[in-house]
Amino acid sequence: MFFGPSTKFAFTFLLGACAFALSWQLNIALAVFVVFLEHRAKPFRPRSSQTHRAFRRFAVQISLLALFIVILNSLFLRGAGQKIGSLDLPLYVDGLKFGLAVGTRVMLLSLSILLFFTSTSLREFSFLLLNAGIPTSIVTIILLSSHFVEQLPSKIGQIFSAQEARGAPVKSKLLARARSLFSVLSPLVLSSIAESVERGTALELRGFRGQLQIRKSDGEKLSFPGYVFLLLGVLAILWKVLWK
Amino acid sequence: MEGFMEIEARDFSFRYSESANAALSSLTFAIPSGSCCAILGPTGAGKTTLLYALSGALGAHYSSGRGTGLVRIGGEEFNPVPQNVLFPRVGLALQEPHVQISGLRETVLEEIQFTLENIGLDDNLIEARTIDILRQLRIQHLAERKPGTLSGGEMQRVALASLLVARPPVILLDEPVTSIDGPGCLTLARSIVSLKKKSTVLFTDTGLDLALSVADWILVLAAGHQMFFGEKNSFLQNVQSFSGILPAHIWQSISNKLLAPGTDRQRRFARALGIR
Amino acid sequence: MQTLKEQFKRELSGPSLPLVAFCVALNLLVGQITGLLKIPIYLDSIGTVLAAVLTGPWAAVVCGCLSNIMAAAFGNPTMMFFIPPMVSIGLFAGLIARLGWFRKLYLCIVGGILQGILASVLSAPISAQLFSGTTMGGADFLVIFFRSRGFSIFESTLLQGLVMDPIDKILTFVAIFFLTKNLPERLVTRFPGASNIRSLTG
Repeated sequence: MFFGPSTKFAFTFLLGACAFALSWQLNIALAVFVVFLEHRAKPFRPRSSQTHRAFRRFAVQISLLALFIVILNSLFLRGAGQKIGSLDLPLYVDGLKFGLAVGTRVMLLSLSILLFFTSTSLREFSFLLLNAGIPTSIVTIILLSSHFVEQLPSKIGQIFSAQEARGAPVKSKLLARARSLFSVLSPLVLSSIAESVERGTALELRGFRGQLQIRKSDGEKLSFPGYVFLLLGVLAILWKVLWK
Repeated sequence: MEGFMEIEARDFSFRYSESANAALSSLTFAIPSGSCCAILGPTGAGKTTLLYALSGALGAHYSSGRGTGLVRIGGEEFNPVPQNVLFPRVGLALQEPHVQISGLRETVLEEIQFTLENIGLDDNLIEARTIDILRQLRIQHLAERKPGTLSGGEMQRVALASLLVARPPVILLDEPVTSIDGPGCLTLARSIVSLKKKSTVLFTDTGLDLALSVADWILVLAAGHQMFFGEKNSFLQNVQSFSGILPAHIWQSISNKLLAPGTDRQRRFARALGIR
Repeated sequence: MQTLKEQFKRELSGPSLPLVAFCVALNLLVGQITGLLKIPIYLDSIGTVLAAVLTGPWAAVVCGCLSNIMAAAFGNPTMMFFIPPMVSIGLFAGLIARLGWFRKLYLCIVGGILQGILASVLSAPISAQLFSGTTMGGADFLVIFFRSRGFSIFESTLLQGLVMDPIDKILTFVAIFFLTKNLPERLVTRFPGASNIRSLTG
């Protein structure tokens, strides 16, 4: 695959390195580029409409957070004491520059990580890790936990409804609601621990001994662009550390 | 791995370490290879414990428990129980199908193939066997579904498929009809009849329809004790003595409908299965 | 003395695997529960502490790391930056669990306070460097308050953490104490951390 999961991972690494190495102007440009890739580039197409909505939602949130960081630093970081603009607002240039550097950095970093995960399924990510030599037990946990994340919300809802029907003060005052947290957590945790024991046995009863088998169709090697991305990322970090 | 295996227990008892009473007490039975035995009894009789013991899960995970006697599976003796899970020689399908779905695969097809990957078969054989089991259990239409979206009955059939695909010589089924509807029961019964030609099958049940339809041997447990072991006809001739042990609805079913051979219900069921 | 590899293998095999997976999911979903009840606490390391108590520190470290990585997969990539504090929670909770602290309520409270301090010390530099101490959450008002008093970004973030984190960690540790107190022995003995919560007989 030309732009498979491992190449996308290398691309994410490059963007992350740029977030630390480049100026805030270039970081904003790259962040916009990331949003463009998510919308238009085939390898980065989101897995589902749900992940596309999650990306859009996060893009708005992180932009607002970046703006908040800029304003906060402009207010409190006075530096040389030079104010922004001719209006006598308590906003300082040094704080603004610092805020822009921090805000755009976190925006690019977060968006590039999210771009990777919205365009790569957890299964592909798991096989990427397996190919990279990560222990099978860890990969198994990733796959199992994503299964639980899909299954548990309905179980939580059922327990919540059951506790409400039993008279637990789930809609009462804050302290009462806080106490009823235990009445929701307790059956959830107990049943899940019991189920873990059964699941462990069930996996064994299907011959699973802790080693996930990789079939030929699951493997994927890093492509040439992937190596280029990795190299550029390392160079960017070195440049930042040694020269800037 | 195919071939017949007989199952035998001699004076087999087991007590969990934290329990004062024995979970299983002095069980003695011999199930010939290539036959089917139904294990009947009320809740807490020890049916599941017995299946766990035969599969090796009991010895592997409850080593602090006390077992005595002897169990023999396919000529291999264990004193008293296997200390490791014996899969793929012995396959056990648990009562709750949703815990048997591994969660490590995205589709039903891959879920079933997961079993064969674990036992190291090559890709061609994996594909062929998977297609075969999907056809056998009539779940081809579920192949591309996500396991988490299946209904209870569908999940039970998929869980069964993921066990049977390995073709174990001994098949243990813990209450296989719990979540299955009428047509599903019939498919299961047909599968057991065809499985008997290649494997030895034991299953537990709280009902009696499946047992009387497909089982050759009946083992009745109550509070860990063996109340009866013998051929099905012998069970029916002695069924009066179990009225206090079997759940009331089963007793009612037996006494009203199935005691007299040749009743319509029994004939219809046998005809549907294609057996005499 | 077991090697690290042996400990790792012991803590991540058998039923511990699905348990740690459940703990990861619990970390990710506990917000759903506190949201349903409308209570303003996080408890987003409750799964990590449960894994530490029932399996061990290394499984808890894996649980914590994976929770933050998977938070990214489910739409919140900023959690990935806070892996070091999560690692500290797994290691610390696992260590005090081995010392038997989860058998006594007062020790759980002490442990929560210490963990809260440790977590805030580790997360402050990350939060300060990457976010200038803000997350657009409710606790930002504390950071703003301290910055308005002349504290630096790092100092403000640290002080905010020292106020909020011990409370959250005390609640987490106490919740785990009560959740594990009455677990059936037959279940508990299946996990390597059984002796952390029970004096086992037989």
